[in-house]
Amino acid sequence: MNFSSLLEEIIFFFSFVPWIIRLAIGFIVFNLLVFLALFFSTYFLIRKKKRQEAHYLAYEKAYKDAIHKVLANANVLSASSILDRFETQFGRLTSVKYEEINNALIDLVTADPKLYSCNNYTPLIDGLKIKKYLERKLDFSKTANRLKAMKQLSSLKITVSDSKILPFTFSKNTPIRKGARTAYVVISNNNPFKFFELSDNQMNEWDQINLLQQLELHHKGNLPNFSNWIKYSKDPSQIIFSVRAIAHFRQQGATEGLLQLLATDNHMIREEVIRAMASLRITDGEDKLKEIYSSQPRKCQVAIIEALAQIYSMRSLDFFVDTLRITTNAELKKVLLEAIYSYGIAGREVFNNLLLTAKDFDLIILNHIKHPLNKSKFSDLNNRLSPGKEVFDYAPLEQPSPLSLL
Amino acid sequence: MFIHYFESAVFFYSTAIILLSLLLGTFALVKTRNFKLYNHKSDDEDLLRSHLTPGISIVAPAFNEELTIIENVNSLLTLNYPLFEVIIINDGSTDNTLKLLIEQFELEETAYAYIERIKTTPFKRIFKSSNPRYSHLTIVDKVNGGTKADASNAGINASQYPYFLCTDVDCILDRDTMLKMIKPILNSKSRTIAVGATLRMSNSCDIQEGRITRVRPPRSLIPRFQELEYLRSYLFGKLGWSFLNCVPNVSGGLGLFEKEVAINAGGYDGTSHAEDMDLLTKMVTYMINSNLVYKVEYIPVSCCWTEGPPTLKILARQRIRWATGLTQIFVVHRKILFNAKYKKLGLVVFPIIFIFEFLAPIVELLGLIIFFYLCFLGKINWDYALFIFLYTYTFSIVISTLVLFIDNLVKRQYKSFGEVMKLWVLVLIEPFIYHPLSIFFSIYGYIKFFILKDIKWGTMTRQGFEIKPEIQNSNA
Repeated sequence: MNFSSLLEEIIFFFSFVPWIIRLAIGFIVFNLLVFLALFFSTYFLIRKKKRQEAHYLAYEKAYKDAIHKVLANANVLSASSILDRFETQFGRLTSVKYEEINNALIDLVTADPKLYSCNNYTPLIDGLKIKKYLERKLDFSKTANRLKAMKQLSSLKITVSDSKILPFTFSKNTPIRKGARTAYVVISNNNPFKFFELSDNQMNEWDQINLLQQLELHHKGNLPNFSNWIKYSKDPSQIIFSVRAIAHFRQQGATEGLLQLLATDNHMIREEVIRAMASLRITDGEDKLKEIYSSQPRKCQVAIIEALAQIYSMRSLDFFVDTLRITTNAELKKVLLEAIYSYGIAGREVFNNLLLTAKDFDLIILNHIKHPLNKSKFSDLNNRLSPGKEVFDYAPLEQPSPLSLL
Repeated sequence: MFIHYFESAVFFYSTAIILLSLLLGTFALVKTRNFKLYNHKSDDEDLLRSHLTPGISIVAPAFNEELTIIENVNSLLTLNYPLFEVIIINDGSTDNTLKLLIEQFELEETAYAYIERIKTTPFKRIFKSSNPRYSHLTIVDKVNGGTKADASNAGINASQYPYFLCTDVDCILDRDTMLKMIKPILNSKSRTIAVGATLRMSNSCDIQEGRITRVRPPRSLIPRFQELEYLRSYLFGKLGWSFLNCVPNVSGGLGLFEKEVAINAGGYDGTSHAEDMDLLTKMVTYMINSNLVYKVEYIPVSCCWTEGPPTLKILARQRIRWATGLTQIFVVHRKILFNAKYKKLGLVVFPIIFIFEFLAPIVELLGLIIFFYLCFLGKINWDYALFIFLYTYTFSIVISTLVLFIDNLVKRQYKSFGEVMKLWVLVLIEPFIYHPLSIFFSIYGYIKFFILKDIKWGTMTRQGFEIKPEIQNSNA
């Protein structure tokens, strides 16, 4: 039977079967084609990933050793000699090898940021033409690779001209735009903070984490004054970021701006401002915080109590006690009592007196707070603000006032 | 006449399922592509270093888990996250679960201001470790409430961070689970109230010091079927639905939730047998009623390995409970079904689950009965029947193959293509062995709920994890 007669037979069969069966046969053919495509795609995908992983595993140590040798060299090496070394050892640098070398280099500089300042760091980047390779990826590749290139540029602290990155900072593709703006802070030589001026610079929590990280890693010595943006920015998320940055980088000069911002209608911004006041230990705002306490939503009330305890001026104990007297909410009571407990000798005395008279659940709260195995809300807060160490050196209990520390 | 209409109805029913599946498959692929596109390996490092990363409380109820409790708690304590606590709820265990915990982790009874924001059976006491190594471990001891939901609520009450990750104590979590799951919450324009991730079977995997060191497809047939079923459910169903923000359920085995919303929604229903779907339904309802914009996300990463029921008896117990749970959901939340007030929940999620999940076993059973009846009468057109059968059979193969493709696209879990094939082979026999069993268990669950009125939680008998010989030797 030849092909045309087979085809005729199929058409003949089709013309007599009900339409439901025709539909079913159509789907069966479709299913078989999709199945074959997926099955072989899975096979080739696994094979490709397996090879890539094996290749990187085999060469990772060699790449890192070669990079180390260059960076550890006391003499400044020429770009061409570095390229020769790598090409002799690894052959011509293909895009696969570039990716592997970049990853190895990023691993090294992330583990030891001092490597950025090695004499041979710039010659290494120039010699291996990493900048050129990444710029090419920015120009000609798909979104995922562009994003990856931006990440790699900022991780390697490679500055590029504005013409390469600026077009992406206004892209309609949100992840590209955000990625480019975050990268721009690191890789632009011109005006890295220009996007803080824009009104459309919305930032979610992830953007803030990323940006703060970049500022921490690459701009700690030349930070802008963030209080400018808390005054002029219209976007709440950008104001929140600026307030957080002020607190994180301890910009004491921003006190006035923060106190003004306390009057904002947005309670999320207000909560952040109160937390920043705590971080900076702004004693000037204490009375204002007490004044607004009763009209605040719960989150801001908790933030105020924690802030007053952290500011630790020894002028808030009465406020804590008075507030405790009128508070019925168990969680607020717990925060207030923790604040009292951590408030120096005077606070400890009040706490012990309460312990003598407290009953039922109040007594349980007091016992909870003084139990050494229960973590204090305040020590936890301190750890959050600066992982691994206390942010403030709280004055020892023997000292009547820690104001002298300021 | 009835049979003629039934046949046509079933054809359109299955065609609707196929079209819906095509849509879901496309959405799942788009979600996977986006996940790969916008997630970078350095993201985890950024989260670890940042002081803005929010704290997470891991809530894991334990009832008679003496066989695996120590290894599992150790596993939870070694997770990679900058700010977290592990809360184990001893739900009135009658074995040595609590005693083992006290001895192993140097626990002391601690005064604790337990605020009961969600009602549970009586709370007894809190234990904390005097060893600083375990400073982020808390054990809540309470009276048995009969359900996991009740125990989870006690854990939520004792938690201190704004998000809680609900898991089963027998689950082994990937070390970076929390880093992966918090990312969609942080990287979102709207408020993400829950995040789910993929669960797999831990049976036959290599486990060392509470960590999965080598992923293998389960050797026994029943867990292997479940591995395939789970992958399909997560990487196809839930992932696809998350594209439309219509995730019906974040698994009880692994789900990250915003605490405030969960508490305001009333927490888990202590009497529910589908407590995970119940909680999400209530959380979404709360957000809709409060006119708040919300999102429920799913990530295609395998983050959790759980011991699948190794025998048919235990599988039956689990599936019957799931079926009674699903029925309970539709009875308790009946006002949501086809109700425009509940937007996508009332017009998309609930109707689709009701029509294509709840009714499916009934339709399939009816179909089988009519098929055998027609066989008996000799009224089957076998030529056409073969095409109709191949129509659905080949489609089920396509869906399962797509799922295995997505799984490997995200991350190569198995070492070789051969291991993937071991799982794939089951795709061919699943409709004849495993699927009929699932139908039977579901129907039995419905009967238990509506006719026998017999609703019990039941226990899952654990075998414990296989310890490799060299580890046994070193312990000896």
